[in-house]
Amino acid sequence: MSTLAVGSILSAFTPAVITMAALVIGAYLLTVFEHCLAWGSLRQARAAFVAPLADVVALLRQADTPPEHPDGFLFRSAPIVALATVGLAALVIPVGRGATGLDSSIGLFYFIVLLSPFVIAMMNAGWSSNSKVGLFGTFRAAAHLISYEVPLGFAAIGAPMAAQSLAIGRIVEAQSSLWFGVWQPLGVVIYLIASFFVCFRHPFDAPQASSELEGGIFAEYTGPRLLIFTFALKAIFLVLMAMAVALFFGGWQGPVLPGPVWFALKTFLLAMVVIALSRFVPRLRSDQMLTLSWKALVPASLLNIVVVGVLTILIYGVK
Amino acid sequence: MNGVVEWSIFGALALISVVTAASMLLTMSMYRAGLALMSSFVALAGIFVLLNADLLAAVQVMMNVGGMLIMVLFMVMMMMDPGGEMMWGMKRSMRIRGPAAFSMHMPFGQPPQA
Amino acid sequence: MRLTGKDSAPSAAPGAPRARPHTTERLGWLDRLASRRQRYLPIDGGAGAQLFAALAGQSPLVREVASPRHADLLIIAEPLSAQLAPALATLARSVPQPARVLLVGAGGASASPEARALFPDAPRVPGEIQAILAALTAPARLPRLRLSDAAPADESPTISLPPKREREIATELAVLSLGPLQPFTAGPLRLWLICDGEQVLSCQVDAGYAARNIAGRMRESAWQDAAALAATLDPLAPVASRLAYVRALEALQRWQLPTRVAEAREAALAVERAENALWWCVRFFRLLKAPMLIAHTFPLATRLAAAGARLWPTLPPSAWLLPQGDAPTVEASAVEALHGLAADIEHLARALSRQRLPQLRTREVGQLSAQRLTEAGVSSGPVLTASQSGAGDIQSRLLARLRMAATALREIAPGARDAARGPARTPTESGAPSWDVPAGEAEGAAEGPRGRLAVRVRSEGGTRPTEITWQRPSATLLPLLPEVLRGQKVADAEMIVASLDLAMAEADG
Repeated sequence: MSTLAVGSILSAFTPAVITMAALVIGAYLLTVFEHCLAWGSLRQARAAFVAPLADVVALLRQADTPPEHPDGFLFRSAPIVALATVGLAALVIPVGRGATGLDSSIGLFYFIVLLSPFVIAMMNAGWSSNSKVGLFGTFRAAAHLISYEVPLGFAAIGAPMAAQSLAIGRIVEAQSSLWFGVWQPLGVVIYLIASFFVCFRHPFDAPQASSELEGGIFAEYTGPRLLIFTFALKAIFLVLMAMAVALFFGGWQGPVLPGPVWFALKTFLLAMVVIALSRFVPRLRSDQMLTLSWKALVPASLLNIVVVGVLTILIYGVK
Repeated sequence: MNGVVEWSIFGALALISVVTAASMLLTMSMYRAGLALMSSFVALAGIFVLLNADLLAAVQVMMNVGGMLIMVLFMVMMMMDPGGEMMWGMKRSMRIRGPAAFSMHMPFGQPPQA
Repeated sequence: MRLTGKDSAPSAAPGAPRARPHTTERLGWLDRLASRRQRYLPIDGGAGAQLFAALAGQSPLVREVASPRHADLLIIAEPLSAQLAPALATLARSVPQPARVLLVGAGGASASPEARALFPDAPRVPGEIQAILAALTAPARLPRLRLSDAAPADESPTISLPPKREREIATELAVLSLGPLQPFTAGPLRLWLICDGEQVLSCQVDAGYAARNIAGRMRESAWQDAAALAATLDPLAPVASRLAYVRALEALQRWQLPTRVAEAREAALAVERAENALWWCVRFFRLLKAPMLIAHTFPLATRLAAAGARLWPTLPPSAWLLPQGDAPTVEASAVEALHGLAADIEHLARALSRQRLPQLRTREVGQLSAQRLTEAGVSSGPVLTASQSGAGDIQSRLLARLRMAATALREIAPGARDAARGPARTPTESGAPSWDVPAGEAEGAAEGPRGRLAVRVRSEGGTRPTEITWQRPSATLLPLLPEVLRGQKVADAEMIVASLDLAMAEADG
């Protein structure tokens, strides 16, 4: 192969590699923060930095014990599908001016579409484990599947309505004068809650409830597969927060520091605030989550669309 | 060079699309059939991307994957043995190795006799 | 992909399990890094509830996991009974290698024969947090998890499904087996939940996994040894069980109790009730997964444990709870600390009754009427109090336990300052304990954390009791489980079982 081909292939891989590296570092820092919150004392801060590394090494060394008669293909492919969707979804997020892995004109649509294979991978994980805890976890994950889609889509659509484009780079640039989050607070709240549904985070972690269901969908996973799942969950949370920053909080724009630094700061700040707020709620049952989604979030998101439409015309004028 | 790459990608996607669509008909498990149809549509979406129709690809995935999912959900809820497990020996039998100390057992599912 | 360190080779000798002198492994840096954080699966034979509740939030060194597949350390709290062996063997086989095991003893010098039969070379530490953490910081001294060859094979239990009439509406039934080693009760209990989706249709209770036949063994032993056995009836409330027996003996001996001794005994009972209530709260909030509530309750529980230990500067209650025995003076500064703690607990209870968010899971779930409870024979305890004064749901039980703890602590009589420096009065001095029990029949009772624990003792003047009958509060709650769990969702059913605070060691006797 000529050097031109090698160069083009390499340049195609570079955004992917950078994205994955960023996700790994981001997941590590997020885990460190969660540990600090859980242990709550600065004395153990040093342990908080070592603990994720220790977990990673321990998981990589763990023997692979598949359950009896699993659905082989689904059992083995579920973590990889989860990881792949997270990586693909993270490609469209702009971290700086023009610095995005995939600058697509339908970026936001592509992102939202990629979230459903992630939840499907979680469902497959439980289903293929050939254990009842997994089966119960799959049904709870199916509840997640139908809960997140409508509120997330309707809340996220407020930003393209205001920016008149689905391309995320254009959305970020349209916020140079005023952040969308300032005049779409309802959209922000609905988006954040719906993103918790996707990430299976507390208080919506019933499918993988470690105290209730013995691990639920992840009950039969060990070793590197479990590590990939854990990483994928943290990464998708980061990716969703990054998308929230891009949609509602001005993306990489900021006065003094370079774009990517602002972007990372805003993402982590948002993640920390959201995680700290989520600690006040106990774990909700699946049907309580469904009630919240369909009886509260869907009407609210419809109202949000109406309000955003009216405000768009008022702020930006009729085009 | 581009031609070879494009042709190989197209060939792979087409193969996946046809094979998964066939396996949807040939498999005994409804859950797997739903997933196979989803993968077939995703491969079709890949072909759309090759044709530079990004939006169509995304719409294809969203509509069909979403629809297939709801169909799979209803299958699993309503039908007996939707996973086709009896055929493969995924019996979820009374004696299962694993975390049986806190695990779930299922008797061979029989529908309630009228 | 496996990154293995330098491990010692597994033992190749088959046959009878014998204690293998384990060699200290030389660990590579990867092993040392991996062992900075151990994921442990707690296995509670009946005595470990408070220990595990305290361990889980104690140190970044350990993290509790729920599935044996995610664990690399098994921490087993004795006592273990032979009935538990098949389930424990299955669990140990599900843990992926590399894994280690640690036995935590309730008392006595060496491990119980059942534990030795399953895990021949597991080390054993006393039942204290610091001892466990010390053992875990030097993981090289923990040998690999090795199940002995004599371990029983996997079990294949059978259950009976509900009759066809009940099954008509259900689309397909799933049988959920909770246990016997599950986190909802303090000790092993097997619950078969027959579910239609997430809703429980019926439930079968399979108890007896923690049965040690305490009453029978007490009949076989002398009065003094029976007192030690009585303390193990409920390992989470040894003071109450021992005191019930001692009071029965004193009733037979027609002994009049001096006020000081009565106050000291009530203080010990009160501290035990409060400790049980607070650690139960910590466990319950962990099951419910409410991080802020855990963060508020865990410091209260640890403060109570520290203050309770300071209450008796010279002798622990097990040394002076003897018939006609004297009691040391209570340390006044510790009593003041406990009174302050009572105020904090009441503050927590008030805050809990006001907050709406945690009540999403606890309100109007699992209601039991007071009438139904009294019909079933429940005559005391926070469950009955909750049904009498509140709605009888999980929320009211939670508040009833917190209020019980606060009231108990508040009613401790103030002791003397610097009690340790006062004249030392060991039980063998003035007021020597007497183990001569005249003939007769008497009942002794003590207010334990889960209700009134009573024992009826019959003696014929000899060296052994003739008849011992225990009334155990948890045992009366067990038959109520099927009716209270019917129609609930699985997640709620688990919380209801946890809210009843069943101590299986006590319930099985």
